[in-house]
Amino acid sequence: MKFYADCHLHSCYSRATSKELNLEHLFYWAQLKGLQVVGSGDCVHPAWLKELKEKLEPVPGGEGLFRLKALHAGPMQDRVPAACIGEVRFMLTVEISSIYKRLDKVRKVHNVVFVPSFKAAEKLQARLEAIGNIKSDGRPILGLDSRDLLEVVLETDPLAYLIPAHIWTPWFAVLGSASGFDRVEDCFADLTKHIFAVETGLSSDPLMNWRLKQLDPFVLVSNSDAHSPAKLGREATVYDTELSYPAIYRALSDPRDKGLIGTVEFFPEEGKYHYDGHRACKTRLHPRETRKHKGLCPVCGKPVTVGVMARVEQLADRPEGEKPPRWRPYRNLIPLPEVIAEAKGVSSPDGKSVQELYHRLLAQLGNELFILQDAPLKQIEATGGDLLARGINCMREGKVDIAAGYDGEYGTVHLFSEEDRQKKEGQLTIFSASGGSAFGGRTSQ
Amino acid sequence: MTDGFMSLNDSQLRAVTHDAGHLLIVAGPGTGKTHTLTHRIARVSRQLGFGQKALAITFTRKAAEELEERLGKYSPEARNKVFVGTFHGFCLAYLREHVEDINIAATDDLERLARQIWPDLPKRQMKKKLQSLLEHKTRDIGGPAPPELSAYNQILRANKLWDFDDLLLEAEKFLSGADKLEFAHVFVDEYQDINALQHALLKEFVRLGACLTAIGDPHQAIYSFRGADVSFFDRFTEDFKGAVILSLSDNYRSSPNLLKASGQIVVRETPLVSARAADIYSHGQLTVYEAPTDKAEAEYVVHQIEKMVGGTSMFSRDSGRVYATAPARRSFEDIAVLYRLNAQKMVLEEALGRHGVPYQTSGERPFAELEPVPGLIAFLKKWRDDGPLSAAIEKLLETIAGNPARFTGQKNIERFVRMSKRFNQVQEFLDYLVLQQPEDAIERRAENVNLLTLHAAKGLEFPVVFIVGCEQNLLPLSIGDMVSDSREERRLFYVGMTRAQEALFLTHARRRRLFGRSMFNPPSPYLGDIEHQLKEYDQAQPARRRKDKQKSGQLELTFARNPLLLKRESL
Repeated sequence: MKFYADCHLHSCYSRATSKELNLEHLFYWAQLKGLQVVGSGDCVHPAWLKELKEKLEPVPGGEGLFRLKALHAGPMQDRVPAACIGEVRFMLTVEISSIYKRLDKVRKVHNVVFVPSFKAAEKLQARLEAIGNIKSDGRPILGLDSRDLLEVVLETDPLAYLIPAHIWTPWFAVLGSASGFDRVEDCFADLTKHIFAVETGLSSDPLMNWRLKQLDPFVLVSNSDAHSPAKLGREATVYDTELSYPAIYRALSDPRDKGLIGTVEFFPEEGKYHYDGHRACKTRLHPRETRKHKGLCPVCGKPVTVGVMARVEQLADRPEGEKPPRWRPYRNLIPLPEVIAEAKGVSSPDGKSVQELYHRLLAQLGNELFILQDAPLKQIEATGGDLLARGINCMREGKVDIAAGYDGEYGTVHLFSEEDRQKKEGQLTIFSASGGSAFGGRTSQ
Repeated sequence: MTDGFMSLNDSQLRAVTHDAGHLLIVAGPGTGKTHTLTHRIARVSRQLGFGQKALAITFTRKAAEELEERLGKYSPEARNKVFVGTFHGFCLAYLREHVEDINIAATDDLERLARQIWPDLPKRQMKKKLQSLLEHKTRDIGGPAPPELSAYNQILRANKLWDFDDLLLEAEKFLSGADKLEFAHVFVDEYQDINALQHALLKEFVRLGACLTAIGDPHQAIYSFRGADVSFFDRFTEDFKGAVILSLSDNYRSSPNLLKASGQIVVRETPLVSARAADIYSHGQLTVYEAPTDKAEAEYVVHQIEKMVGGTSMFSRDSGRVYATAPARRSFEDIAVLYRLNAQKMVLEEALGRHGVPYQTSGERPFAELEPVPGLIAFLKKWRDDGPLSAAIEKLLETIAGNPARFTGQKNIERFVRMSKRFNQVQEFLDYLVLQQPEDAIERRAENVNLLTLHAAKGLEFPVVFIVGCEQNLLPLSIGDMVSDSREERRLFYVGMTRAQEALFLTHARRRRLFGRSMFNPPSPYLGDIEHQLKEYDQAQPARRRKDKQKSGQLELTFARNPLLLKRESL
């Protein structure tokens, strides 16, 4: 079956995350978003692992994945609109932050670890507990070399695996400009062959990653890295295979397997580190401009934080547009509340009127991933109005204007001019009302 | 490998190549002590006659391992001619050749036995009595003994147990009856911290014909509470006929008198402390910080660490708690936080733990006494004569798997197994374990910030050092009945300062909770000794006075919410 998976996220036991990041809310929001597989996050944190063991149960025929027990799912299920109801499976995952010195430089690399059973999670927990503090943060910070972490993971279970997280983030990633390496294999050394997938992160999309031949051996995955349940599924990976851990493992690791379909992505410009710049100085620089300023901030004169676009350019060895042998299609999406806010001309997607319409759309049309990608525009117009339908269409066609993110500041999306907003009804006829275009790449810039 | 004499300066070269009899090398911080010692050992060892060996004695097991490693690199040939170990390690190896069954008592055993001598004393007092008894064994050799000593020794023997220093006492007895020694040359590191018993052993070595090289720094003598006596340092030329003293810091031969004088400098005068401060300050990295409370002090330390590491999480970056634009230069292992008393550790651990900064602490107890190691050792003892260590470890692991509840402490079990891999025989491994000191309990697997007592920091160096609690009553120590010799306290502070290679933070708190009560301590007098102009005062100040320094409104807000960020940058 075809399903969406979002496996890198956090529980309420991670620092700076929402209190609502518990299993019940993950279960609820996964259905609203249209996800069938969600990561547990933080699965070596003692309190969270205990809760996972209490509330989750194995699924018959779905080896290695878990579901929320009826006792806990019941009350939440009643709140899910009928149009969104779907199966939700949990996968045991945890992100580890490794900070260590290698070759005289401080490296800070985030990795996501996947395990197929509670037994394996406990084994991993015991190993990591012997190395550092896993109690104070759901995403533990360890002084452990990424390569050594991978070794520990591989020793945990034959099906345990590790995916380098948001590989381009400047400060905390395997290829990050200020924290990482120039090559993935410099990080994982002799164990690199056990890495088979990398996570694009919000600030890059497959088009950018395809430009590095060194990434050809890896498939690209996407996850939300959500710190609150509403952010779930903002990026996700699409599979068409059996709903089980071994099937997902095969889809990622076996080049002959056809189970991995592709990813849904942010527009990379929306990510927090797409361009270069200084947040404190409010300097946003296209890499071209950075070069003009010799890498220094025109406001404070210190080196700018080098964003993902520049970093990709720096390491790229393949022209833009060319595809690697194992490429998968992807789609750029904008979170539905942001599109609604844009259509309404309000700045915050969290406002009451936006949220009200958001939930009405979910109740009448179906889950968010369906609305964004496949819902017929006519239906969207019927519930959300003409402007919203046009906004969704622009997004589907890639006709968006984004002030790119930089140095920790998210990019801002513009779908309409003031003029567009003034125009009233009756515009929809200019669109084909088909909707649901094939799952394919971004069509234009 | 080559001699590498190229890497030696004049004074070091003179020390390495000295050929005429006993030698005392005075090596202040940063003078290349280990480098010089290693070269000297390598050179002397290569000149040894057929069948002759050398003995190198270090202060800790860890230092021994480091020295062995370095020697192996410089000169594998010399490496094979040298026994490297601590005093206790040497004595145990020596005695194994003469004595059948040596069982070293663990702290628990000793306390159990001491109970028989003082059945009615409260535990704390009993421990104190025991401690002074043990100290006596190393200090007043031949002098008047406390009345309980013979009772204590009898009970020990009746239980077929030895205490740690019995190793030295017994070895000294055997040596005094011997007429030859296989070691033609004996090297002793950290000579300022030897005690009377160790000194007596060295005398025996020399009587048996060994040539002696000692190295150390009298300004760093800090172990008198364990019976060490820095006056041995000053008496070296009297104790060992024909001895010469060379100083690594200076390029001239010091007379014993001159040495005595410089030994006294640190006692009263302060140029050493301020000289060191000047040295550090010349890199622009000496910071003094006053915190309102010990909790705020700990928070400051953690925050500085986060800044140096460049933020430990997205949150610390995105929230503005840490905002750096250059890649981090430091990682956790570059940093040490030092304190006078273990009791100061808790508030630091709490703050580091809360911020998810990985740390390791110096052991208060040796590894062999940590849960469940005594049980593991007892198990191994049963397999002592039954094949190789690896087989015994396998049996041990099977037993643990069969009964996990009996052995709790996965961390220490794993470490036990890892440690065992370096040995072949069960007895070898057991001896190694019994010789472990609390200072050896640190293990480097992943990188961690090091939390250490000032004493445990001896011999270690870190790019960044924090000394917390630079306050009267802590430095020098004077709380209740914990009062220490003020000269030794000053040296201890000096030792702490000299652990820093690049940046030194001296912090103190106006209010501190210790042993369940509040203390209001003025800054340590040692801080005053550091010349005023050397100090970068690093204090929390009201937001408005900092306002003009901030460039962005957004950051200003963040700063205002985080008073700790208001401090002046000094790095």
